[in-house]
Amino acid sequence: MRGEDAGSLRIAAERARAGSPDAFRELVERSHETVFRLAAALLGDRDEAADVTQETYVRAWERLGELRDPAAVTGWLCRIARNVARDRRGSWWARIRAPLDAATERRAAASEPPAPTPHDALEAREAAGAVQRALRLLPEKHRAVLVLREVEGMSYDEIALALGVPVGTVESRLHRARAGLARRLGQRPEEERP
Amino acid sequence: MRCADARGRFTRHLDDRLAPAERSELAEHLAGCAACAAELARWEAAAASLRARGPTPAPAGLADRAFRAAMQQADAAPPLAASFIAAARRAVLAGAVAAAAVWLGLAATGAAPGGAPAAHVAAEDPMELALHVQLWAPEGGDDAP
Repeated sequence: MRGEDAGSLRIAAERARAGSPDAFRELVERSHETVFRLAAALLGDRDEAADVTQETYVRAWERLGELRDPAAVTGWLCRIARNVARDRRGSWWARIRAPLDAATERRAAASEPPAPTPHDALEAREAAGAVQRALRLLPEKHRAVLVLREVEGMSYDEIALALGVPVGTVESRLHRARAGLARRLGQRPEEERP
Repeated sequence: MRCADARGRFTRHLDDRLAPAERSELAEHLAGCAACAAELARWEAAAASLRARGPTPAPAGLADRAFRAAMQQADAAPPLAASFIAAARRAVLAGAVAAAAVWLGLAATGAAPGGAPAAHVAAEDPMELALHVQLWAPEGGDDAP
């Protein structure tokens, strides 16, 4: 994040903490992409991630008085998002929804429109499916760090802030995640194990 | 350099975080070790597959929805400060009732400041005694059948 953005975010957080809804709106607009991307990395589902993002700001507005350091508001929001995501994963709705999501995914894959060259489209779909499967088999903390780095393009410092862990932990998790992904992608589907 | 040491540097190599000397040592090892070179190629291919997905854009209008949800929730439920004030009011009221009860108890035993026994209070000021009794009336007493 650029210094100018960080400064604006801090000022918005200070004013929102003092009770300004307009400042809170600015805080939401400036930070919701980061919160959403973290939730998407943790949950692997855009709809769930959007719900988590919304709930994060509901809780944030209720608890802004607990924000001690407005300069650290991004990390504070990410911590709330992680808690919301954890609560949802353990909920009865998440347990019911998991098999439904898998069925929806299979239907979507079957009904995906063909690309101009059928052979290429098939290969691309198979490759994307293999990556998705391999990613899903990784432990959640490894998957999150890998997605934030490779897909979302975050720096080590940004990932450390988002996940609330030291930079050294980011590096070690990233190392294990990459090794796991490469190993699983090198296996045939029948060899895949969680 | 051993293979395990070389592979231990793969992540920092991919993220361009190796010191120049470390990078040279790794390159030297990879030049002479086909297994490690193949393993690194697998790591690079896996990373490239992931990057091909691209960043996940937030759904359009998400910021607006999140803001409105927060405001609606705040309207529906009292925010933390309001809850605290309400709790403080309840605590003050409970304290006042407890103090009145203690005073009444002391008055009944003749140990109240001023030494006025309850019967004396009743004789001199029946309305005041009635007020004390009212303070002791259980909540919802009016609803009793």
